[in-house]
Amino acid sequence: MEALSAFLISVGEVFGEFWWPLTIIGGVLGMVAASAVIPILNHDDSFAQIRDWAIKPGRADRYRDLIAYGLRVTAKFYGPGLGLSWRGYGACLIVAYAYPVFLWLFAWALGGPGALGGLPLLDETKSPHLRWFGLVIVCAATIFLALFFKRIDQFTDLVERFLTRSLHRAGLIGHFPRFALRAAIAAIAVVAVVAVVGGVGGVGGVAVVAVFAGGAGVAVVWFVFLIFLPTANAVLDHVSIQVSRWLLTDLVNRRNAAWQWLIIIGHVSADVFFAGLFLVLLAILLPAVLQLANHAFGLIGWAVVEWGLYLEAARHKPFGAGWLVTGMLVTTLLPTVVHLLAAGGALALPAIGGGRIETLAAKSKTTLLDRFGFLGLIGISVFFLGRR
Amino acid sequence: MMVIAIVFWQGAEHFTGPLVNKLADLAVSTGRAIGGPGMPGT
Repeated sequence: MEALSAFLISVGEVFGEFWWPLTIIGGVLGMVAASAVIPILNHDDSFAQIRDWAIKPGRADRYRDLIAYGLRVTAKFYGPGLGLSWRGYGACLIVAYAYPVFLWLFAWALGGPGALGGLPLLDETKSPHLRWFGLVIVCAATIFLALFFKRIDQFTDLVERFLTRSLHRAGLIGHFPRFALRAAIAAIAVVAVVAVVGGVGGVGGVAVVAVFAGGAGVAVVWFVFLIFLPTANAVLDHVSIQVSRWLLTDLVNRRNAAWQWLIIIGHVSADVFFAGLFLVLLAILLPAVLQLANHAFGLIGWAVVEWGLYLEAARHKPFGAGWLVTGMLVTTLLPTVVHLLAAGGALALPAIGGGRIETLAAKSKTTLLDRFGFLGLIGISVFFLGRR
Repeated sequence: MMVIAIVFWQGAEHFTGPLVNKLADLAVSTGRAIGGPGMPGT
């Protein structure tokens, strides 16, 4: 009872402390989700697919269909092969470049440490409000840069037209080489965004300009975030994903075998077991890589990585200040978590939806509101919506 | 939704705490086995 009270009090404390950033994040995610879901629901064929899947008789069939769809999606990213491959590793590596940095910022906003390689890149003396402000600025700048680079051709066109016209007016004839223009525009955008983040984010305690300032401490940061953490983490992400894919493919292929429930329990259990194993392996691999790096940094006289600070934060507050460590570990579990979500969704659906799903599905004409209701009832299936 | 998320979040922290501690112990042991500068607690 005491434990439960302590748990409920801690829930209240977290809600009291973080209600406003959570409201902002929840609102933004809600808008993004709504803008993604409405066109899908308005599209008759897409809705028909969801409906067909949801009213499919038999939990095992529904479960396998979700898995088969998930496998088709992953094949686009990781390649068709179920063994280890450079393509699969590369896909994991690209993702592994982004999340350590954002986990680091996120953990810092929740009160985690911000120094690395002897550099206080994230100011630990700032208040939680200012830290969240800094995090929002960095995220906004990243989204802005991503959108900018997606449309860099249009920007180059604009500038090219403007420059050509200006030259013409000045009585000169000529044009700028396109690649040089594009490179100049990209460089100006990056410098401008870094300067803005350095200025505005600095209020929030994010010393982003220091990352580009040079020096041995900065080199340590670059090595850690660009080489050691991503390459080590991606190894086990890749192995974990491929083992889950192999198990799930085997499960789908045994569609007509006897003892279905036993086969499903066996595969889910094996997936959970391997996820645990990879978690332990990652808890060995990451410190090993960082400590070997520290050896090398020590030999050449550079600052060392203070990973103990982050480990201690994870011990005290794994889902708060320790998010960098927890997040690095949790990412290895993601394929298994998605698998369990599919299993849970497929098994729980009849209990959640009951007769209402059948009633809605039987309607010959459905309004958008009907479709939203239907989607709300089947909830989890939207993640796996797709082409058969 | 947010209340559910926070309850899950806190629940996860409560129940995974011992596991994270075990993994942290394992990480420290690994680091000590390799040795060198920057080890936690040195």
